[in-house]
Amino acid sequence: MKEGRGQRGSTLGWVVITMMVLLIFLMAALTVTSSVVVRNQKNHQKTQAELTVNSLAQAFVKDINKRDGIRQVMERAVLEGVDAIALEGMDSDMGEVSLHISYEQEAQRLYILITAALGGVREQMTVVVKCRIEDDVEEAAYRTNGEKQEAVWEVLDFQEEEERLR
Amino acid sequence: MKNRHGGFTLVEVAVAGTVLMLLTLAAAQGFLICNSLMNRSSRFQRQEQELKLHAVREEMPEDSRKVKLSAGSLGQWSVIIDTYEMDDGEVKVSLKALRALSNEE
Repeated sequence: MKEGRGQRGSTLGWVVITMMVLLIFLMAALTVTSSVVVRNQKNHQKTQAELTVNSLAQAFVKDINKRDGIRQVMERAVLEGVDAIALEGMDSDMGEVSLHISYEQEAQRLYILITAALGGVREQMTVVVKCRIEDDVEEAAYRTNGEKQEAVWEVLDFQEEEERLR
Repeated sequence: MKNRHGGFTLVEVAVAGTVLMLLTLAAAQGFLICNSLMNRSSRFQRQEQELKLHAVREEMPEDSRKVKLSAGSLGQWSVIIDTYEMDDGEVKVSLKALRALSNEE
């Protein structure tokens, strides 16, 4: 059988092969694009979760010595033996935020593990605070220059990922 | 009417040509969409990095509002939620950060 240009249907064959190759390239391009878009989405969630955790830790540190607010929440949680707190009221696109706390009475250390979960992403940070939490609030207060003051809480450390509380 | 060389009728050639052209156009459209999505993705990433810097430096946000975070029966905590946004008409990126209340707020 003679091969070549004059063979019946050969043009159609070449056209079909060309189209198939084009389609394979197109499918590859669509797959790559789709994975880039999904990765971008994940990265955005990770960035937002990181920002939520970091900004929450900073706000926590700034407010730690205010009379009410987060300090009161922490004191009550320790005294009532609560070790997991879900913070509600945050925008849904900031992720779900929870605090896991652990207090070492003798060392006077409060470990707060802040977790933000957004989509399939989880970001965590631990804040270590030196503080004294006691049943009797009067016990926790002390006198300076004749005036009664709230015991000062001191932030000792920020740690990303704290294994001991997991 | 038969073509002497290929053995196709004029109608067959016309139909095949049209289908081929449509497929080529569809493929071109597909590649254009891919290209546009890739461009948008890279713009999104750039803007996101820029916004993150704004948020970390606590620069002026597009929107700020006071919210009360509730820890159930344990109490509440008032904070500010800052919204940082960037919109160039095609790509819109938004990030949010928490901030402690200042004395004036």
